[in-house]
Amino acid sequence: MAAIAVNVARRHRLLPWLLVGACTARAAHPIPIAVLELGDALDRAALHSDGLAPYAVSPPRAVPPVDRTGDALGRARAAYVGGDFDACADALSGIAVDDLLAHADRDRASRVLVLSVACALGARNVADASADAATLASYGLEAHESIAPDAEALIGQAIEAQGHAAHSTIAIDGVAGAHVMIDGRADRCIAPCRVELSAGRHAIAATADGYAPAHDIVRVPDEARVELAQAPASAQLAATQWRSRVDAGLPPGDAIGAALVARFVPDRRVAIVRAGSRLDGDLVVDGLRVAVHEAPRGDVPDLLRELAYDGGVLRRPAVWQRPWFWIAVSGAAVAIAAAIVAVTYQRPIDTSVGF
Amino acid sequence: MKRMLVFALFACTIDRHVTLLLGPDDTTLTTGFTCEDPNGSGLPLLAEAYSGSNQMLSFNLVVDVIDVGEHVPSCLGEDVEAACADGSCQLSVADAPMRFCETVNVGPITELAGSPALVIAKLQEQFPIVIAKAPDRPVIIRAVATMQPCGPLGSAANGVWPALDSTMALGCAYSCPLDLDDADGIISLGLNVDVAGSDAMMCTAAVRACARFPEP
Repeated sequence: MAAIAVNVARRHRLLPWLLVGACTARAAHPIPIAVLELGDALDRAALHSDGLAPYAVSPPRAVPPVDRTGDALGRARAAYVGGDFDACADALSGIAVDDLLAHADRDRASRVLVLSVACALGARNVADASADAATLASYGLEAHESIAPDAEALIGQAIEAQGHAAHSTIAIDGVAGAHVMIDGRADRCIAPCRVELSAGRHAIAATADGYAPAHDIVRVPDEARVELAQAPASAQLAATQWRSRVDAGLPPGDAIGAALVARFVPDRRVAIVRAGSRLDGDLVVDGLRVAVHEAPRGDVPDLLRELAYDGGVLRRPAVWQRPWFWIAVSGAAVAIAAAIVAVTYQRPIDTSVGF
Repeated sequence: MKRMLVFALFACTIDRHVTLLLGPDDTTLTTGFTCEDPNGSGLPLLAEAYSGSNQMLSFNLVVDVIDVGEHVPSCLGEDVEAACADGSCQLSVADAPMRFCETVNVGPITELAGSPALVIAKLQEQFPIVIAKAPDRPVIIRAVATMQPCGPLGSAANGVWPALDSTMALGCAYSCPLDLDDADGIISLGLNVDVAGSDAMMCTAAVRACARFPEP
């Protein structure tokens, strides 16, 4: 069988190339490497590279959250208008205002609290109505919901009272660099930080790439410090955050992007490949970007190979182990031989003799 | 264009031509062709080829290329003889694949004194090429005027052309040993004046020794 193979190679003049190829360094087993595609960079059917076993991966798709707040608000409003204040309270009880504020949804948080004030007042529960009005005022929410005048008056009083409340400093701890949202207002500070807040109830939330969002409620001036413990992001959340960063024009393979990719791609080696006029690639190993390379568009194998060499995944072959070295040496030898021949060659002389 | 350059560099040969003179210049014949007949007639030896009936001088001219081997002698006859004494000098077919032997008809000759110039002019007119491709190693060019027929002389044996019959030679001259590829011009053939010019007997003996060469 080997003889047949050699014969075929010789017949097709492949033998020199096979000999050269045999000298190049190759991994004993192809090393798996996940390829994360951005754009239409990859011809997945032709995804291969010497010494590597690349395979394409896609970030998990984000599952949109089920929104029941709108329905509950609709039912509460209908119950309030119909005078069924208990049903109104029931409908609103399932809505977490803190969660709405953690997602910067101040409008619906306001509607929930305004209806809570109105329904509690309608049910003659003045204490709950006053507490909700105070909470509304403390969060600094604006009341746009149309409600009974006495409820409006109660809210007005709460807002006026909040305007006179003293301020205190709150220390916020959490993941360094996390964006801190206070009462649904984004980017109030970057953790760890200290902020001045008026007396009353406040919703503090933090978001950071690579971590799940966290929020908590502080009561000023009773509490002077809040710790927002953020859990590491799930694979799906990390993928969503990575997508958001890429869509916002941030580098997909920078330090944060690499860390996010490592969370949602199971392989420890990930090549991020994006297509423009050329191919750009980042190699992420264990959550760290270890190589950056670019290649002509369409030459994914070369891009992956160079990334693997630069990133230490594959050992770059010595100069003499590369085919172009031998091509260059052969070319130089031919050129030198030709130059020697040209310099030393003496044209043959034909001499005729006659009278 | 590149192909033409490569062709010009490697494929083309340098063409050279060597003109033989049977004497010191193109109007004078060497002593080897003007020996006096030793039978006392007072005429040149070459006159044996003269026919009074048609006033024509007719003889065969043989031009040989003699390979001198590794030992290249000087032009002196004694040196040539010594260098070739071991048989290393040959009339090799390898040096001359075709032996030049042609009949020369010169005439009508009405005045003996003008005959050398007529012979020279005839040779120049009739034989501008006697060797098409000269060997590229040292050789001696020898020209012999003889009454010997050309036919037998053109049959080589064992890669060597047959030696001439010296008794039928009417004139002979030879060149110094040289590589003809290095000689782009005129070469004079001659015979040692000291030997050939002393008297008719000695001159004829020298002509015969020259014609017989490389045989001893």
